[in-house]
Amino acid sequence: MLVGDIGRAALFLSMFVVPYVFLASTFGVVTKNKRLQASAKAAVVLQFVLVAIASGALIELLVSLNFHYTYVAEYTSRGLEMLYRIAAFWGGDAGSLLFWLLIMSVYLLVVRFTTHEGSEQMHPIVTAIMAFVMTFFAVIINRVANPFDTLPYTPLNGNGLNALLQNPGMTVHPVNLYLGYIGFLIPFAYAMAALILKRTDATWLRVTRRWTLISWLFLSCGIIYGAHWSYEELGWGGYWSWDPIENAALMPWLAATAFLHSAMIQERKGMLKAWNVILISLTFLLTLFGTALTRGGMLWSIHSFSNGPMGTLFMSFVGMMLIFSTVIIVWRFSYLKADAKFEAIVSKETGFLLNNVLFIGALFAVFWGTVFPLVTEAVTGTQMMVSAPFYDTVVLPIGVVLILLMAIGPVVAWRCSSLENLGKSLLPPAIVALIIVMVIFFLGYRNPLSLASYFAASFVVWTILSEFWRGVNARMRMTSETAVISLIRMIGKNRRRYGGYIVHLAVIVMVIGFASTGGYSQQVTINLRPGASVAIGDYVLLYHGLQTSQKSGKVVLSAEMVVYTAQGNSLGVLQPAVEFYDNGQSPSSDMALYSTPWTDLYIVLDGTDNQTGQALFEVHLNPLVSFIWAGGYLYIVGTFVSLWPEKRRQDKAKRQVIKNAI
Amino acid sequence: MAKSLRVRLWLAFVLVIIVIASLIGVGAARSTSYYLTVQQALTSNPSPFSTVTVSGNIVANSVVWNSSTEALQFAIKDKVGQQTLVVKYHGARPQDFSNGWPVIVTGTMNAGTLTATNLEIKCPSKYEAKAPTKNT
Repeated sequence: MLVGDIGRAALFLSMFVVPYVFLASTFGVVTKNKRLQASAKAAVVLQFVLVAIASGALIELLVSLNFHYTYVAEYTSRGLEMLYRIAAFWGGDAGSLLFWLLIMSVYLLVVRFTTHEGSEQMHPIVTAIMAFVMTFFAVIINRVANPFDTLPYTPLNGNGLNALLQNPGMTVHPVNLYLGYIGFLIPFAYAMAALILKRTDATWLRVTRRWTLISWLFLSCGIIYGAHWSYEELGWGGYWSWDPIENAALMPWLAATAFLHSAMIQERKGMLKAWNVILISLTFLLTLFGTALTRGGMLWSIHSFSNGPMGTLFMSFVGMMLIFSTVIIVWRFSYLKADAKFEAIVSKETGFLLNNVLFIGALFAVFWGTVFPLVTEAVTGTQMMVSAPFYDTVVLPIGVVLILLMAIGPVVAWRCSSLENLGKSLLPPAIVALIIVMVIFFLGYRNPLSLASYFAASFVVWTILSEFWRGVNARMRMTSETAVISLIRMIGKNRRRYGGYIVHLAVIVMVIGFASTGGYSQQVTINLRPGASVAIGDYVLLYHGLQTSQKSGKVVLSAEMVVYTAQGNSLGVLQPAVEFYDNGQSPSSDMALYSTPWTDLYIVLDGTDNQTGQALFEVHLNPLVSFIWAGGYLYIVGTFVSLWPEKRRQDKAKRQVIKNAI
Repeated sequence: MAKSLRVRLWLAFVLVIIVIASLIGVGAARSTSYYLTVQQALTSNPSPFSTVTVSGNIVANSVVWNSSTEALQFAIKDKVGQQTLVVKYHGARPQDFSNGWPVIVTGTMNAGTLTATNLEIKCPSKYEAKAPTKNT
């Protein structure tokens, strides 16, 4: 009991310390009282200690399976592996909110104790804004969803964790999403602080660039992990279904990606200042909105939601933050004038602008589709909804155009470029891309959207690789290094640029996967007797029969399928299965996967007839799925290259010579 | 910024917005459906041509499955009322298919029966607590 009591007490105290940080910072700024500001700084440490104690206590209760606590009884059970006991910390409503608060406490601590240009003025305001958001969480945890609530009795066992979620990837996926969501609070707070201080230059962007990139990386990883889990565990053959919960993570990602691009324009040219402030506010608000969706139960989805007052509370908080940011932006709008103007219709600046319009267009479409049931209910009294084809129709063409922009971007000059010049440099890659697409077309792959994606993708690969090639070549001529060393050093000296290119290449690898699975997946649903076979693509599957095995806590019914190539060579046995649980939980299917870099053979056991041994199979042949996951890893590499601090002590003269040579 | 340039930029911007808006229009026309409760589906007599989506839980022992014709029939019930809606579906029987499990069906209504073209099983949310029977 003691551990729980300590945790509850620490959590309770945090409900007073966090608002103190907010109030002391705010009044410290208003009255220019340094002592108040210093006391807020000390309170930042104290609130971190309190939240850390509460979190530690909750983990201890979960690990020791103390079922007297409601939260522990709901999310763990005897025999649950240690990994999942700890993962239960961020598994349920109450625990995940505490986890949020913990991460925010760590972030606030780091922010408050790092110095940078302008930190003396900015810190108290940033601290106040962050503490204000944290106050909301601290109050909710204490008053609405307290993880230290107890049961009137101690049950013998807990509810345990859903079997589908007992997958190591699933323990990481929510953490990634949360870290992504929470991190955008920091650039948002800095943007607001910059406005309040009338410091609308690019300082706040430089200071928060790494925070933004790291949060963006986590958010991206969370989305990709979720897709991977859905593909391997849910057994429906796909990885993305435009579900409101998926959209809840995609929307802030779209806004953040637009922001990452337009921030470059402000850093370089002092343009789009107002736009950047709006974008980062939008990103932050969408992360809160996403939380409201996942925790609120306002929209149904194929994921079941938790219900309760949480949704309303979160939505009110989103509204409050929306009003706050709007007021600040309008109040300081006159300080957001651009230092330069657009000079030509074709330039890097306008390219970035188009990129932003497209991202926001896609975001608007996803947002509209997601809230469509709520809007139609408010207007007509009947809920209407849109399904996957809506999103495919709108978002996929926008995606193709964005990829084309990726190809054109590196070639277009800053300030002013002409269509004629652009045409000249784009003609060779366009011809190559066209030839590639024609070859694919004549091989029999004729889905128009996929072909358009392949065209755009080949285009990008060409322009990016030629950027690398030109850079390496110039460097080799100057330094007489080998090609590999040259490449490594060149990337090292301009990490932001080449990291960005690597991320673009990663996106292309993933796009090839999306376009191929989207356009050319095959699916057969077939009822087979033992001894019968089915052919799909270059594979022949021979069904041998069913077998049952008893495992701990479950009975596994599996079908044995031998996989042959079209030439008759055996590739091995696949065993799609269904698991029936002793505790009466709904059975779950366990699909079988034979994955090569080129195709995934994906078999789901859909139904069985125990008398005849007949079984119904759903067989998918998905081309190039592995590209999506491989692209995901390259994406991480590229972001890290871009994140890593650049070495400052460079030989400037040498750099200049190489630049001139390029 | 020269005036003509500004006009051209705005024109380009408006053009992009119009394209996106028309995509949204086309997409919405393709895939919009009415989201109804079981009771609304039974009483509102939707046209047999309009698509409806209903979510509910599978009624105990209502599942009839013919594996040779792949015909699946079951009834669903939601939290709002006591009425049940019979659903017919042609296609693979999802494995996670059993009594009480939540599903979302999309299709057309005909004489009080929903002929589904799409059948989705709700997936458990992250570490979702199961039925709220434990601590009452």
